[in-house]
Amino acid sequence: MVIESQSKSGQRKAGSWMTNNRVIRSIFRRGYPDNDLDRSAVMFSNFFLHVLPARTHVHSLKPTYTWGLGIISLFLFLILMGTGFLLMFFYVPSTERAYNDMKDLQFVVSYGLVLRNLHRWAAHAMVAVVFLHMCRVFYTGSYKAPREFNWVLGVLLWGATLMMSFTGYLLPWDQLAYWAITVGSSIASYPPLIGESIRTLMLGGDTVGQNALIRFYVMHVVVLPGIMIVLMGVHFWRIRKDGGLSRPSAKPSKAVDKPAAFSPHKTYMLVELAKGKTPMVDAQAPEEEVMSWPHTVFRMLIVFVGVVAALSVVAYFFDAPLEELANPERPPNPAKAPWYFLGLQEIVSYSALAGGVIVPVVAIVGLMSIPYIDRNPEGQGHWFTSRQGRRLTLGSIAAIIPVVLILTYLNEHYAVRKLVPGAPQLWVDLLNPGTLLIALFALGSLYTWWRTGSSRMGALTLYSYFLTAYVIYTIIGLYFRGPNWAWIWPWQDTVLH
Amino acid sequence: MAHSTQDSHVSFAWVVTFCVLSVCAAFFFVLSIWKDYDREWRGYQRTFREMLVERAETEEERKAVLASGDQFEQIIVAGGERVDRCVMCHQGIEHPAFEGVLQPFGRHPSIPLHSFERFGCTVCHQGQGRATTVQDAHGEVPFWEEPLLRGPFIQASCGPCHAGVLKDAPLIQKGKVLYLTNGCIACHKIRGAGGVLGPDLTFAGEHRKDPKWHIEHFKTPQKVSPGSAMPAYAHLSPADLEALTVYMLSLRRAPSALALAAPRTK
Repeated sequence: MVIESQSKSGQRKAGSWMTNNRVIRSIFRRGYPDNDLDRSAVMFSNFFLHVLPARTHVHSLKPTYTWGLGIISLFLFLILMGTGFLLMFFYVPSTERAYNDMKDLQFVVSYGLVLRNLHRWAAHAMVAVVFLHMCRVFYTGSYKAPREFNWVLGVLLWGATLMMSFTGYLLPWDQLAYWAITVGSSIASYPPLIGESIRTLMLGGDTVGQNALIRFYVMHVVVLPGIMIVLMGVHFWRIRKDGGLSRPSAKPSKAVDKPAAFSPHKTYMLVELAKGKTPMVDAQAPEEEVMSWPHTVFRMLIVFVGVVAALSVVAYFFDAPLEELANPERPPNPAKAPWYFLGLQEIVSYSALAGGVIVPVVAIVGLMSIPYIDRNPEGQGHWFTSRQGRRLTLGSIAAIIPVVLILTYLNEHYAVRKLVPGAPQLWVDLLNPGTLLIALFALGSLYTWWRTGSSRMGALTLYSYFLTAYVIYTIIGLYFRGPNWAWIWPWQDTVLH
Repeated sequence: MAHSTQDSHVSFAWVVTFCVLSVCAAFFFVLSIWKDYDREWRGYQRTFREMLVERAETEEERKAVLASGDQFEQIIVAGGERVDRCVMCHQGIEHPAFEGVLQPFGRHPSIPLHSFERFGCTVCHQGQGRATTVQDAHGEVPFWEEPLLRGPFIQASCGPCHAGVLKDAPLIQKGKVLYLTNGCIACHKIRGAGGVLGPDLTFAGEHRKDPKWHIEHFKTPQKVSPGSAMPAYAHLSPADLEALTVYMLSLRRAPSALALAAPRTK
């Protein structure tokens, strides 16, 4: 399809041959778009851009609405793919070679160290950004109909991101990697009955060794990226199909035209058979849209350059960590999981059942079912839905900080086993900060739901509770836990072995 | 921000943002390329070439040196089990004209039957053979457990292969005598002989390869090994502690790298 440029003025300009010659036209089918028809055509005739609409609602371009977190996650993923492919040329997943390959990357491979730094920091950034993206989607109520299932896909993508990071963590085969995976895989072994099987499946044995390394490698470079690419494809496609990014509804959606009873004596066209409208049709608002080229595409380019700039600064100044060669006979004390699992490890230290089973299951199942529980369409497209929502969110965060700290303090000094030394395991599993907090969160959010009469307010409260508690526990695990998982202050000196 | 469908240009502020970020990314891109190129060992090779030019006896020799550039060098021992890149900086270790020159360019004293091609460097000196920066290569960095053996401690490296009394490594024998006469043997077993209260020391040098750790441990065991029941040996003279440390470091298996087939030179 060749659309002749409707304006000849652009072609007359000096240098227009650069954007409008035979070769360029054979690739892009047109010169530089200088009218709205060509600007639309740029979007839908380009394979990489056709997932985007030709016109974008101005609300979707507000930086303070999305903070660009979704697109940043995508760019981080692409950077990880690029650096990852290059790293694969220099890495052999063998317990005898892996660590030496890390050293060679650092000392002899051209750009080896900067590649590894970029990959490492981009991976940590992606775990954080994907999580922040989920928070943005939650707090703007974007999981509501018709986007419920895309939220579920998002939760799966978050899980896949964590697994990508976790499997990559083992590959350097140093002490940090070895013991973090040992701790992480033991958290996975706590579910009753199936726990041990999960760990054996994960590690290919009882302990982290060659079998685990090759499994993690294959998961990291083939299986999980494949799953993520498919999930991301569907995630992006559904954004379009569900009517673009969420935004405040401008007009009440019109009643769907229901076709009358079909007559058997008439031939119907497809358009007459289709019931209702797609969310896409509902989403049309021509008067508030701008051309995606250049407005959306240029903003995406800015975000990309920003991500690259930030990563190259960090990769220049900070080297990716590499400790001693993995040594199964010399565990560090304490051995810590990767930072995003430290919250779980902290709760595991209270009760393996709470940290290894209850909290992860409640979190994943709870997150996935939120759009089906909170079906209230209110406040979609507004941060925190309303003034009341903002107050409730901030209030829940402020209220839960002291609660978490007090429970942690009580557990430190008056844990069940300290008061009743021979207490059965069931008491410990029921009376520990992890389980107690979950019960408290459920009560608190149900109470909010009842008091406000709004499931959205209940959901906001619940999410804020979980978010705050998890961040606090991650910080405690990161900075306040020393040998034997005892409480230390960050400024305290400890002899590590 | 004014929006209209006719508004076909992105705002000036966005263009400025784009330019600033692009310049920043490009700047650090170039900086990273330079950092990767500008490696420490290049400076050492440059200095070495200057010294070679000074020592050149004929014009041809001088020209040959000036024509040569930076070179990547390494000694691969036993099929890659050890890779020693020390020679990237220590360029003069086999050069007759650098006899008596101070390190890093001095000639290595020749030890019969211990050719560099077959043995490499770190098998005796320790340190981090794969590294190509001074600090990392000398292993005096966090997370590397085999620092360069400086001064008398190098004697320990003869022990794993050579049993018996060595005239060039007297500290091993001295340390052994101290171990027997200061009561160490009462608690610690070596090759089957000795007490059982403390850990077996037959391979003590494999467990801890840092001389500083051993000296500290003799002085105040609990400082580096919390909960240890060992009495302090701070009353021994520094020379005795040094000898004991050399003996401890010598207690290790012969390097497996040498057991593998390697071309025997001379």
